[in-house]
Amino acid sequence: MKFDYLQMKNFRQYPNAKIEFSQSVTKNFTVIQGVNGAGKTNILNAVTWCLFGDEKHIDKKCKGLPIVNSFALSKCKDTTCEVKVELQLIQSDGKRIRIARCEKWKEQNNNLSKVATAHDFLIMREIERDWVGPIYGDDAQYIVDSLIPPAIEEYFFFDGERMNDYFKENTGKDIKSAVFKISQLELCNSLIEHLSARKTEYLRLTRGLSPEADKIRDLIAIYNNSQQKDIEQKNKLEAEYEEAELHEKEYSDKLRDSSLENIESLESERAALVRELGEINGDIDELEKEKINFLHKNMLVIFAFDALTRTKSLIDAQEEAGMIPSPVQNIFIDGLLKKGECICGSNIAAKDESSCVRRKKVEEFLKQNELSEMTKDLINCNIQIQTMIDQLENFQANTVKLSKKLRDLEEKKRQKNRRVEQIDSEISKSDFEEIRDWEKKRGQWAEEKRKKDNEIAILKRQIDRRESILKANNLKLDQELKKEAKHNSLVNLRRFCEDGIRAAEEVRDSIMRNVKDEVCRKTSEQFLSLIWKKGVYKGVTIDDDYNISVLHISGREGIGSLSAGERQVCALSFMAALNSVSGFDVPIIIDTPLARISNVPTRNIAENLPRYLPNKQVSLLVTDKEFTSEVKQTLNNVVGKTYLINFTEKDYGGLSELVLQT
Amino acid sequence: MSEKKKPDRLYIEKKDREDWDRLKDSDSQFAGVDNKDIFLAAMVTGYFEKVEFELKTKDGYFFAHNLKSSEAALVKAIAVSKTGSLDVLLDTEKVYEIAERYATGGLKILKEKIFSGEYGSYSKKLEAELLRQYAKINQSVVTLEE
Repeated sequence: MKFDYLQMKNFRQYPNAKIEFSQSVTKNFTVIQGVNGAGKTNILNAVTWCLFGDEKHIDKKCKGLPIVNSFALSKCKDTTCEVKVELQLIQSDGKRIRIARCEKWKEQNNNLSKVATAHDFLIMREIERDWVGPIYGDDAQYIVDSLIPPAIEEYFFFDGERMNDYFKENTGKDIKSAVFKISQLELCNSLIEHLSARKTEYLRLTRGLSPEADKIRDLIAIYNNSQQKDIEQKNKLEAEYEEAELHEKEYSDKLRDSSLENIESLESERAALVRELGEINGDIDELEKEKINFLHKNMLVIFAFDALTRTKSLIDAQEEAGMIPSPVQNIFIDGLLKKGECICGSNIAAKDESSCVRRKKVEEFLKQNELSEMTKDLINCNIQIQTMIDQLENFQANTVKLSKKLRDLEEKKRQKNRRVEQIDSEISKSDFEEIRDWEKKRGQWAEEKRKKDNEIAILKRQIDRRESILKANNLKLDQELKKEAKHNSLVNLRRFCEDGIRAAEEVRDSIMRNVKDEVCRKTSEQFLSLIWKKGVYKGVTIDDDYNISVLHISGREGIGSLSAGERQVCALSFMAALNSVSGFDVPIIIDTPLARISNVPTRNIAENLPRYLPNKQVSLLVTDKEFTSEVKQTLNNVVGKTYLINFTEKDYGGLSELVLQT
Repeated sequence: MSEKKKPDRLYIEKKDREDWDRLKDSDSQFAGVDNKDIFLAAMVTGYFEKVEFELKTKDGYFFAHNLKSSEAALVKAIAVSKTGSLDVLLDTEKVYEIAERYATGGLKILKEKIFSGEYGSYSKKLEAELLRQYAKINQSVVTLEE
């Protein structure tokens, strides 16, 4: 899909302006250049307002100000003034869609008010060679939302300047939410919600079926209620934890960006130590798990050692006494008995005495053979016991080795913690009041974070615990209901819902994982191709908690030490990856893409941008500073159209016009 | 008389089901461990501490075919040690019954050990106990060799 044109009438500083986007396959970039404050971001806002009725990129300066152009309004004395934005799209099949949104404003006695209009939003569709429509209101919005889902618009229309702070402002939870949005998994979630509601309904229907079932059902309801409350509390705590983390980061950044060299280096050292401590804690957890598994494996042999040795000596004694007869197949002797004829040919089926005696002998042999079956089992048992005993030989040495590893890690952790404490103390004794204040606040937020983390861990355990109780009670309820065949269908329906919920959750999680991996791969690829410091970074990773890390070639995490420009490149790569993985064919608009990046790297980005946004119609809203002659030259081959925003400041506000450059 | 059918699973006491599940919770050192392995740990604990309980109402816990050869040998050894004779091995039902009784006893001990102290104290105590027993085993082996 491409943008054909965007027309703005009386929208913010634009009394009447039109952008005709470049349609060329090779020159698919449109550049709109203007000084700060000229109205670049409002072009982005005009697009989102037209599509969704919301200026999603509004800055503080414009927030609260009426959308209508002040100059146009001043000319419409006592009459209404119309604001209108029209966006025409060209779909991949060449058919056009025209989207228009308008509002009417009126100023009377110095009071500005919006005048209600019957049809403030409409679309027209081109079918064959005719224009069909208009389609108004919600129906029109439904069509627009299916073309460009509002939840993911920020991955198509974004502000480059904010990219610098993207990973500062957005936590793992936000990244997860971004991945969720582009995965288009709302269907899975609605399915889970629906099945959960049905399950509750079926549970309600079990009332009055039997006193025991009622008791269990009431218990389940109580547990479910508490579980819901705890999950809500956990989500609240997680949000508070993330807020504390952001504040801690904010003050940590302030300290690191302070002009005082020693504070800057101390803070960087502390940040590195905290990261290393996180890794050590992870290693300790893993080693502890390994150790407990090792102990559990060996406890089987050690606690049952006397049983194993006793059994072994009994088997050994049997062996020594020659009580292990040669194994003969039961089936063969069984066959003789059924046939009524011994291997020697004599009759063992007849009722006479000698036949009976012979038959008894064969039966005894079969009994002996049973022992022989057992003997085979005993031989195997003896081998297994011996192997278990042999494996125990290195138990002490291996335990000592594991314990030493753990002790070493704990010691390393202690040392690093000591150094962190030293740094805390050094910074808090700074001669500068501002530094002391920042450090105090950072410490308070770090403590808050630690407290929340503990509370979350306790709550998580409680939730897990209750989950297994609920599972057990659900099973009990099913068993109780199944006592009466007529309740079977109710049990089956409940089980169907449970299986369905589980399956939907698995599908959702597996798609999320795949999308996350794909976003990670693309982000990494694009970051490495865009970043100007070649051979310094290994790539970008997104962990299971959706935290983004930039891996330095040495293996350490590097996102904290990236420059503003590098951070912007990382976020830009992430955006482009989300955009590409989303599968939506939507043009891209980037506001101030090179704002934070110094001269040399801008060329690098300019060179690579077209390469990692292939076959996409791209519009760049740039300042003069960004669009240097070098960048202009680098992008020359891909830029199809360039507009200049002419801005003039008037008494009643600014006026902007768009001039196509030739 | 028809031959007794070999039992295909091992059982736990029905009213203990919640306690068995509790052992698999995230705050337990058995989190993520499967039923069979928890059962065996409980069985050897019960055997070691000489605590056993008869099962009143049985509830299936895992299938016998999931036992590895070494684990099956362990279950049999416990039964042989309890009865003092290899003959018990002819009666699989009896072998499993002995294992189940010890496991029921062991469950109560494990639950107490894991959840009564602070998190992590169980593994420390277990390590110390195992090292103590291991030393005893070695001592007895040395004495026998002498």
